[in-house]
Amino acid sequence: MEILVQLLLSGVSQGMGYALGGLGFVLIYKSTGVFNFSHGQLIMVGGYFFYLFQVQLGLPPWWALPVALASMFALGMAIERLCLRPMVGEPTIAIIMLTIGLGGLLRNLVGLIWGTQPQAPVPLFEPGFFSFAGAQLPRVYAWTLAAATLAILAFILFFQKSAQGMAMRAVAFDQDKASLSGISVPRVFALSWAAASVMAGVSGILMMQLMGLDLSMDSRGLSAFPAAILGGIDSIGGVILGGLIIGIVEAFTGGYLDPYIGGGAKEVVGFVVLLLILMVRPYGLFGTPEIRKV
Amino acid sequence: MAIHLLKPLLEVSNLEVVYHDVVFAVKGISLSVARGQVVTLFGPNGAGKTSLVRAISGMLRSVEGEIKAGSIVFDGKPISARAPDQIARLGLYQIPEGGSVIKELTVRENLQLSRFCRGSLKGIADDYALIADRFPILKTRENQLGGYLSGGEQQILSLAKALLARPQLLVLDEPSLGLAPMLVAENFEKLQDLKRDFDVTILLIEQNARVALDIASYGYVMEGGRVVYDGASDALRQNREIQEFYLGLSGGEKKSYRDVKHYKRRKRWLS
Amino acid sequence: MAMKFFRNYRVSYREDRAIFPTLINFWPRFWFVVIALALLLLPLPLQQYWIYTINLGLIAVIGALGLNLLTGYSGQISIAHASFLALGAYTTAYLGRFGLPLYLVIPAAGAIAALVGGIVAVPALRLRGLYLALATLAFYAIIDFAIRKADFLTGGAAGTSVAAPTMFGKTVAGDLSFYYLTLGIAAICTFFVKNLERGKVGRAMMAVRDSDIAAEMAGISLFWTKLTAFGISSFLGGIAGSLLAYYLQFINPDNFGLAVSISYVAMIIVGGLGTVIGSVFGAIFMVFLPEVVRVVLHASSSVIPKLDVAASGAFAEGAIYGLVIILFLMFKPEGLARLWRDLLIYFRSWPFTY
Repeated sequence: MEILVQLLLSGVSQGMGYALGGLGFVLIYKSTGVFNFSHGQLIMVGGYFFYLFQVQLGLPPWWALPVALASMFALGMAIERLCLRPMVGEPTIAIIMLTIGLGGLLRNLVGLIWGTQPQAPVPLFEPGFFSFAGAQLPRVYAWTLAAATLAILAFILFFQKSAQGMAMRAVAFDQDKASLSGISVPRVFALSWAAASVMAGVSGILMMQLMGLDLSMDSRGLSAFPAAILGGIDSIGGVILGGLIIGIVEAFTGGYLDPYIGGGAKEVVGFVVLLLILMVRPYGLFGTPEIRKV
Repeated sequence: MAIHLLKPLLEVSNLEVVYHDVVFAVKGISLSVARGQVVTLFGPNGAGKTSLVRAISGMLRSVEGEIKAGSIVFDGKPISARAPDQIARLGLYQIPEGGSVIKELTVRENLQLSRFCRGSLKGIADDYALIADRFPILKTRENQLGGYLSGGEQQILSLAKALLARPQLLVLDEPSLGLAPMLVAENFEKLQDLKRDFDVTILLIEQNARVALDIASYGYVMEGGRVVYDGASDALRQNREIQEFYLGLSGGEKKSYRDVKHYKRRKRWLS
Repeated sequence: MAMKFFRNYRVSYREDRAIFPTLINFWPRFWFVVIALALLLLPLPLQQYWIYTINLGLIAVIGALGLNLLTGYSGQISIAHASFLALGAYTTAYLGRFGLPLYLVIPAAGAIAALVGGIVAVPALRLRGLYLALATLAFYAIIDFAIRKADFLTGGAAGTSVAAPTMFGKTVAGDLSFYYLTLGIAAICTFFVKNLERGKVGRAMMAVRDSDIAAEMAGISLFWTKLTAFGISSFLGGIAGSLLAYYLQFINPDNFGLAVSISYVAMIIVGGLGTVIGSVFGAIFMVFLPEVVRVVLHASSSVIPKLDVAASGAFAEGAIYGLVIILFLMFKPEGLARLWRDLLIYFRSWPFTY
């Protein structure tokens, strides 16, 4: 029973982390139509930026956080302006490749600057355990869960209620008509990337609390893809649900299946779920199907 | 109908539009629209009307077109180099062919998009009441997705969106396209009322010349990228060429197919 | 006489059907022979390291031809190509234990890869673009997992050794022999794809790429076309993998990771989607790029001290690699093939510009 609760909590908090990462994809995809294959690397960069300001430059965490996020904001805008804006109108595969190349570039730059050694970040949340349902659970899971949930709620509020959020949705659906309505499409693109990078940053910082900081963080971020697709890439609620499902399935697979087969299933089960969803319901649980005309 | 005899609201001078560096769509057009007028521009398919409208509203770039020469001045400001959203916010609002409804947003959300031209949502409720009065369909379908509306309803929604943005000049590109004649007549009637309520100037691009000349006070005829005739709508209605080629009135004489000369007859615009 | 050698129109059905349509005139034929001779003589004066790199390049050409067929001609985005190489390679390792000669093993490796490719084609029937790419990503993850787990067959994460390739009783050993073997196979594959592209199958693939609904309405079976695309593409991938296994003599799952798939996609994009010559250019470019970068970095290490450290060097290389892909996509998205074509047109129509 204790194991079950532990797995559940770790799955849920990991899942919320995936959801946060997935929402970043969704934001970029919804606004600009680009699927950013480098999001895992952006998440990783977020973690490293925070490490830079918090540990290497010694800023107190409540300063380091906004500075790190502001840097992510700037990075997102720079990427959009320099790499993506010139690519408007190019075929999908070229843009996908561009984001893959970008991811590789980011990863290698991080390795170049910080090296391959795992870094030791100063934890944001107090360590230790608390009791719940008869189990001893690490505090950090609960804190990350809370933080991720808050971030997601803030994001949802922004996207649904604010004028900028509406502008992003309009641009996502029909650029030309949005433009004629007085919405500056280039500005929406820039803002989307900036906001998505900030979300990736938060995701990275939280993941750092759970599993440390090293170069493998970007492949863990890869698990956010199945989360986004499972839920439906243009549905916010779907992504959250997808993230939770993937997180829990991964946790349970890791806890119950891996010991029998010697490991490895945890990483792959997300993709199995992805494949199943693509076969059965490609647009995800809550996504809207694409309407195509010849 | 007060027409200011001073500076025109929109002035297009010697405009040339080229697509892909090779297709010459607009070959030197000049027109002007005075404040308070309803001006119409009509002509056959391929005359370059939509290209002209795209040039005016800044949408040429997205279809790989370019203004090669000439100028467009709106309310005293040159707009040929501006982005479409800037032009919309200056007060020149275009409803493209097929309407401006974003299908995946609800009717309500589509209407709320006018906030980007207005600056905020303040006061929108009163304006909305005015429009919903004339077009009650908007209220009943408020929470439906725009894409589920019929063609005529989408045109109405586009019009409502446009007016809520409180533009100075409303540019309508073929609003009657694909609509049943009865609906066309009805919509145009309401358009005239709304024009008064909202005090907008209208530039109407149409193929349906009869309806266009009914509501406009001045008209331009466009063919092959050029303006071939212009004048007050009464004068246009009397013109024989226009009657024959655009209004469907051929003057009563019976023509036979053997009379080949008739079909070779060139339009003598200047006589 | 001049007319016979300098025309660019065709005078017979035979010429119209030709695989290499530009070989009507004298000069193209001349250069063709020159290049063929050059390829045959190329490795003789070179050092072992460069022959090794060229061999890897030739293997990449075969793989790139396969992927280009799938993605460039048929429009099916796949980031699982390395998995097909893996299948070919591991089949080779397995069959090699039975002492089978390479002219049986290599086609068998291709066939096994093609079989799995057919399975991957099934979700492709329903998915397009981004979703297909993700499905192939999932396949890659699953196949990678399977390879690592089935250590009784594959040696797991530790890898397995491969018996030397044999042909008619004799072992093919040494970089030079391997060069000629691979060159021959690569040439055959190139002719094959070039022939395919101008025939019914190739045109069906291109129709599916450009507008699949319209293609279906014109009577093209999406099912068979996509199945064929995945099948042939994986077959070529399997052959490339098989040759790789024979060459490296030891393989492990890391040889066929996601980075390899991505580098193949980069090859066909940088080279030029949907062209045979693009596959060739792209493969050679991508295999030689790290070498060029290494040389440049070594030269500039005197200026920037940090670059000489081995580990940093790898990252700097990787960063520049990624940067090159990005720059190519931004400024020359149609790839080297387009550059080549523009170059030829420039010279052909000089001094006119169009």
